[in-house]
Amino acid sequence: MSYAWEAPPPKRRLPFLTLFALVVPPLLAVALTAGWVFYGNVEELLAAKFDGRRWDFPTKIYSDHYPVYVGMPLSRDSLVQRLTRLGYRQVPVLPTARGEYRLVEFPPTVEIRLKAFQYPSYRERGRGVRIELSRREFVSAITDLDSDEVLFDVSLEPVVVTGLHGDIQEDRREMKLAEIPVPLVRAVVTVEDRRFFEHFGLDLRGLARAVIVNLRAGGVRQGGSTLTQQLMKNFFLTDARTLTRKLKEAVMALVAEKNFSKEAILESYLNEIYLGQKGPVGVHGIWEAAKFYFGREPRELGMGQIALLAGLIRAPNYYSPHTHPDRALERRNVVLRTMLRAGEIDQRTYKAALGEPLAVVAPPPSTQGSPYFVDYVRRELQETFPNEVLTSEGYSVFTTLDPELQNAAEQAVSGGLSRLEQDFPFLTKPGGGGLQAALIATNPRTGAIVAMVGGRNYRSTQFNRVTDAKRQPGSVFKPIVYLTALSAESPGSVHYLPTTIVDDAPFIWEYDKKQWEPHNYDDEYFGPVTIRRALELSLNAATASVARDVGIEAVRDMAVRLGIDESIPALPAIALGGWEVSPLEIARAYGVFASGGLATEPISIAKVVSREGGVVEGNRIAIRSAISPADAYLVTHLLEGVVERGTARKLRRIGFTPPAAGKTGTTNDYNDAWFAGYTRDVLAVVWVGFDHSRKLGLTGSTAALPIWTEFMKYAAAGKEPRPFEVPEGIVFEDVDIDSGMVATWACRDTVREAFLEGEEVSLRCRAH
Amino acid sequence: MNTLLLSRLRVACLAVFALVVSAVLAAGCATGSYVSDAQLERAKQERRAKYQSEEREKRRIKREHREARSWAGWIDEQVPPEGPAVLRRGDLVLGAAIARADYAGASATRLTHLRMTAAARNAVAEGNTERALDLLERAIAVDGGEGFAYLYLGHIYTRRGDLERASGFLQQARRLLPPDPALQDEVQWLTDMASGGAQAGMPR
Repeated sequence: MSYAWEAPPPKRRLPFLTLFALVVPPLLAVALTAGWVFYGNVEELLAAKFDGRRWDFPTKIYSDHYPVYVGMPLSRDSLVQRLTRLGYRQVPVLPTARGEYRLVEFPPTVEIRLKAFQYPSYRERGRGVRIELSRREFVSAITDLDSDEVLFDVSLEPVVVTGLHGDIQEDRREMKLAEIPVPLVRAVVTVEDRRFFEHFGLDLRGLARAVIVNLRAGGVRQGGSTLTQQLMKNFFLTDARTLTRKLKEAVMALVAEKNFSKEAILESYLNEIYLGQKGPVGVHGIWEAAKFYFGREPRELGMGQIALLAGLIRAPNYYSPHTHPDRALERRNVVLRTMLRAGEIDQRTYKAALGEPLAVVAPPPSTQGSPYFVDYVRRELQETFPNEVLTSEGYSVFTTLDPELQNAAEQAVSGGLSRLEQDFPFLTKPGGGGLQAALIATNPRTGAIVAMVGGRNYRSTQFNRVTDAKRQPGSVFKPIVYLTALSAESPGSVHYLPTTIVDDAPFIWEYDKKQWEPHNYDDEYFGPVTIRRALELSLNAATASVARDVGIEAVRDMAVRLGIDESIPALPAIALGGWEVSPLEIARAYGVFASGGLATEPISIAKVVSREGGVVEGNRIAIRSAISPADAYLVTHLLEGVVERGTARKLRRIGFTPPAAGKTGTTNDYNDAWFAGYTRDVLAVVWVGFDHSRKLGLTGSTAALPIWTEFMKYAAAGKEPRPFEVPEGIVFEDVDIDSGMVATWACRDTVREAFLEGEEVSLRCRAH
Repeated sequence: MNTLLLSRLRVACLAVFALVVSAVLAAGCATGSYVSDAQLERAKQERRAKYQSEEREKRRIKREHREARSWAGWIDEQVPPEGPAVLRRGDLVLGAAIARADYAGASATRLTHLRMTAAARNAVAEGNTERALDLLERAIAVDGGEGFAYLYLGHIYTRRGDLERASGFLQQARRLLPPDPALQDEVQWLTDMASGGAQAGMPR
């Protein structure tokens, strides 16, 4: 037996060659196959992108344009505010470039070089105008800056209210490469990818240099991406700094260069590139960036501005001239130096560009303006256009909105509600959904909606109380009752005049085997009063009595004729506003009074224009004679009395002086407070209350009237204060306010009353 | 046989086998995904055609939507004009009104209304009816107390065949225009046309 230790048998291992032979070829085959498939996919992806539509263009919603005409009231501050909002830049010398203006002290003048703008029916080429303002703040003359030709009006272009975007919020306007100034193209290529026209998608020299620089610095200091790679990243990939992403980007760049021309790639790049932020919306492309930073089209940019735009590509927010002007200036100079070294510009151009100021314009307000109005416009647009079209076709929607009035309306509502809560702390107790208000303002002659505020805070609730809230109008409905009575064709046992005496006393109205008893505020009754006094003091019993006499059906028919929805029933309660309507319907009805008897449809959209400039849709004014001008004037004259002596006289105390007519409204249960009123040029309706049944506890005069006054003070400031036009067929007589008879020397309280010709009173007052 | 030689032979066979299998697999996948240039071009053209047909479909839908709208549909269609293009008396009286208003220092809004109406009249003469309509609507927005803008609006819409709209404007024009007999005749003639009853020629 042998006890010698025996070495264990050697382990059998697969030799290296065998392993290599088993593993590598399959891996190689799989990698090649995957690469082939990926290449095919990339080609298809690029083809779909370049051959199809590359971007979605949002629909832009514009306000109304701003006409300035000789004789119109206009202060210099107001004009400058408007110009600033439009992105005009003040200069100390005579403006030579579009988008500039100069203020001259004596005589007070504003010299403006208008921006070019494509209106739906004509093109403003961007001429210079001189607007002279008198010391009493109206436009005294308008002349052409270059030819001294006397003009009688000029228009400032509309403001962009907002854009209708899809999921991706980008502002962009596509430009063809041929439309982009050559220096701008050269600047971008020089700064971002000097060998763009030489490489095949990847710049190996640049890549190698970047690797060396980064290794030396111990981190990423330089990128070696070409324009093509950047475009592929922006189109298809994320910003993640990973090897996988870089590899994909490289392959895509190679495929793109193989299948598309350099020009096509460059054009896409210049339209795609991100160049800043406008609130929640990204600024993409050369056009939008030129407008955003300089208020100019790309072809109007100076060399310095071109250099700055090219320099922004690297880090738009870091170099933004709005927030970091010093960095922007430095970056611009770096780009100019680079261009000089590369031979793209000569020494003279370089020095001249260095001396240019940045000349940026203020960024437009970043808030989403007029949200309720925009919602209303969007709803109207969606009746014709699907949402995909609205968020991709790049339409321009010209609306009737006046941005200054809209701003004034929003401030009036917000300030008015805050003041109410301060003066009446019980309004802040929880419940009812919070105090709310709505305001709509229109031009009564055309029906154009110039301002709309649908609630206190759009972010809390998008419910538009102007169009969608149905509330009882209360006494705001009463003028319709009196119109029915006063109109020449009124039915009933008595033909009413403004001086007709009615009995303001409790009574029971029997109808359809039911009974209804109207009550006055505080159960105070005035006995025999004139129609005028009944309306001025908003007496319920007197009004109901008139409605009963003329017939509630006639009142209901008149309401429908004026624009109230025809679902309103012929019930006695409607005489005191006991049926629900929206502020828009009230505005429509009062618009008939304000326009001298014409019914107009409220209009918010004037034109929809395609990107190519064709009018896709438009709304034109249409008028219909609802009542005679004389009847409309009788009501207006009565409502002027409400403002001078009646429940709305507070508005004179608050400081509103122009001629105005209007009516307060308070519902019986004090749930709603209204004021509907107008001047010759603007009509506004205000509602205040809680959304969910909760008592407001305030009258129209207390809650709604101050908001209306605040808004109208601003609205009337831009208009000549003119009395209401007296139509044919109206005569005047001084009458005693209580008896309604021709005033004598003994009558203390008289009023100049209006009558239809032939109906004026002749009996002299014997009461005094 | 030599053991070493056998093992090497074994390895070589395995390697060749693996290579052949891989080559077959790769060839199969590549054949499946290989697309010639011609096929690529064809695919590109098909995609383009598909995109164009989608765009055509979208345009058709948009057109149908537009046509479906009743009073609010507005396309700059050519409607054969009816009657003469010029309101002779209207032009004369408008010119006189401007001169008088200028001389007498009328209100800014009244003057602007008159001048805008005159500019609209010129725009019509130049063939830019859209611009004329914009100016006339602007004139009314500035001052609705003058009848001239309503008259020219009534005229344009009568020529366009939008008689209901024309009637509304002409009614207002009749109320507001100066009591010039020849002018009122012109308005009456247009009103008759708008209500479909005009047979006689235009009043001189």
